[in-house]
Amino acid sequence: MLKSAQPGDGKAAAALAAALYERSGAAAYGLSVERFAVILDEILHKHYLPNSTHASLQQKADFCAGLRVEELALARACAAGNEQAWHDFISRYRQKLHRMALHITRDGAHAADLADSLFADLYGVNAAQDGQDRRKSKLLSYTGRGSLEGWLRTVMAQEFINRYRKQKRTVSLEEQTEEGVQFAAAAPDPASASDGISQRRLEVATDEALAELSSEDRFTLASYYLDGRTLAEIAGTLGLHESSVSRRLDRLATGLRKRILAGLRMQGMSHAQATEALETDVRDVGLNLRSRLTQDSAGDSFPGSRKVSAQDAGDGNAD
Amino acid sequence: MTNAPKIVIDRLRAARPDQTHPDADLLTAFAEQALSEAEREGVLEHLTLCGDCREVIVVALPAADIEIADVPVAAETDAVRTKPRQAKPERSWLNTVWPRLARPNLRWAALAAGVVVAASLVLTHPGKLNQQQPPSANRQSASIASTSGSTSASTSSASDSELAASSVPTPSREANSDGPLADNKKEAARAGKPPAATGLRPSPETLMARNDWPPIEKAKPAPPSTATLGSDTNEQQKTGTLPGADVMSGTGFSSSTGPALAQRNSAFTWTIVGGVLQRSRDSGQSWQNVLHSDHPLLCYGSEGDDVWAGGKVGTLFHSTNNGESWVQVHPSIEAQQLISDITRIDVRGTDLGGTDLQGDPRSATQIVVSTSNNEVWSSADGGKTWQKN
Repeated sequence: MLKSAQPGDGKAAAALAAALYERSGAAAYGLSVERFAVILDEILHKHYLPNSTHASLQQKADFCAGLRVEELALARACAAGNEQAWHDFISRYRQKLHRMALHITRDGAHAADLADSLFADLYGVNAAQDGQDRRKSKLLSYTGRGSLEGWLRTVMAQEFINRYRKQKRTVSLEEQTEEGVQFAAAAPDPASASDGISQRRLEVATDEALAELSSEDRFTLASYYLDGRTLAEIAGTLGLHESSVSRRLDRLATGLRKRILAGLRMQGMSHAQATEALETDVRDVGLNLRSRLTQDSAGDSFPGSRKVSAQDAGDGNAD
Repeated sequence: MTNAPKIVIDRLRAARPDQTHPDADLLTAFAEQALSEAEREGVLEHLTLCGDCREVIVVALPAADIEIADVPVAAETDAVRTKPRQAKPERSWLNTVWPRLARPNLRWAALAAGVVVAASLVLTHPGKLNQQQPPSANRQSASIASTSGSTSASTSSASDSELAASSVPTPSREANSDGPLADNKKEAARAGKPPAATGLRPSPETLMARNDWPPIEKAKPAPPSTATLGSDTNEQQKTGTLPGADVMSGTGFSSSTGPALAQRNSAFTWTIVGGVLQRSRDSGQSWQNVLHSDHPLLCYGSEGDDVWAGGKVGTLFHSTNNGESWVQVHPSIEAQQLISDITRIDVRGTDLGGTDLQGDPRSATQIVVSTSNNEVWSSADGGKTWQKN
């Protein structure tokens, strides 16, 4: 239950849990107030207490007040197998899920497959592998931090990208087998010693300039330059207007150039040398080859898929 | 927009995230701006390094966050950045070619050379150039020529001028062109009534819509049988029936001869090239990418400022402001969604009688979408609800 550092707050914690329980409508789905309080406690321990070990009851209450308790109750009741909850969930989200899938895959067949697969995970048919009959629904991992609809979109997007990555790896391997490993065997010409020093200085100066930026600025740069995202997409992600993103990118590009030049001069280069090092792109050939290889492997391996990041995809699971 | 140095992109790319990804809860809350400052900072730090999670965030964005966002036209022209997913090749082309002309005088020299080449083409092969233009551009330029009475009018054939006069009855041309339909409208103007009040019933047919014909087809001049279209159309209008798109289909044109509603036709010229919707402000002299989509666009329809574009896999976009901003529309009837390729869009106007506050004739618009599997979907409320015929 909502535990407090002060023993005297026990009643207040119970009252808070009861108030949230009332607001959630969990009673209609057969969830008890005790069970709901346990769920809230789990969420607090997962998302809040690790960063706020000495949080007061009021702070916990504020955190819980920001939770989507109605959707949380629905999700957890579905996970517990409540029929009314499933009925409500399906009537609210079934069509939306199919639309989401179509929006993500842009392909009718893949959309149906993706939506069905997610429904199966939500129901929990894939989780009964420990010899027990009890299924484990993916809805158990929903904690109400964001909307249930948004969470469903995110889970679906993760599943879609995981599938795409698997497909991409398979196709890449097949291509490598068919065409030999000529790309891997073609080692780039080693740069001259002076180029290597200049390059190293440039990297250090750039890393330092990037480190001075805020994480949001670096996110904006990565989204725009690495992922090729539109201003609208970046703005949608950050909750900004497109024009703000555009101005920010302009400011960042100009500022980074200045900071890198300053960093190079700090390393003993003259202004002319620094400018030349920045403008002369000795990595053009290597970069082009790498980006070409990446694009080749990321081509149309997933029919109807959206564009996937051109950057080298890691192997980690996004879930 | 100023581009960041390449070394910046290289170093951003070189960064690698730790293996612990934020869970779907955190990513959702981040996208919905529901995280505390500290949590948001932590997620942003990860997202900066992790392309996979950035991808998840964007893929999971609700459709409205991406597609309803305004698409500034100016930004589209200078950097071709409205949809980098598909615009990337263009951007890389621009980035590789344009920086080489780094010196301003070289850029101006290149521009001047282009103008000289274009001018020489016009002077030496006016007929061929005319054929190579998309039909909409062809017909618009012809209409301007006939309106201005300049010497360039001689570069258009008489049939082209007549066809242009009958196919795009913009108000200015209606008052000046010599086509039969224009004459008819002159009479209406002399009678002091809007054209709709002359006894010509507004056409239920398409006002301006056509499929995405291959460019060579679009550039074909009107066949001799349609060269007399103006008089035929005029006759049929008097009887209340219009040839519509069927008559014009040989040229890729669609009928836009509805007398009242045609006055609302946009000054823009539209075309689709390579699955991308383009528009021209200057009668086809220059074209501007207006709408990219993940799936190629196949057809469009427009009426006044109202523009629709359809494509593969049920892709359908709607703009109510001449393509300044777009909304993706997902036609559905109960549980059934339109997921077939959209091959034709008809925008049909219906005269409601009277005039609105601006003095324009009141009208309602019906959108009719035809698909590759011979389904016909229609909506009379701007795409909010749909019927399947």
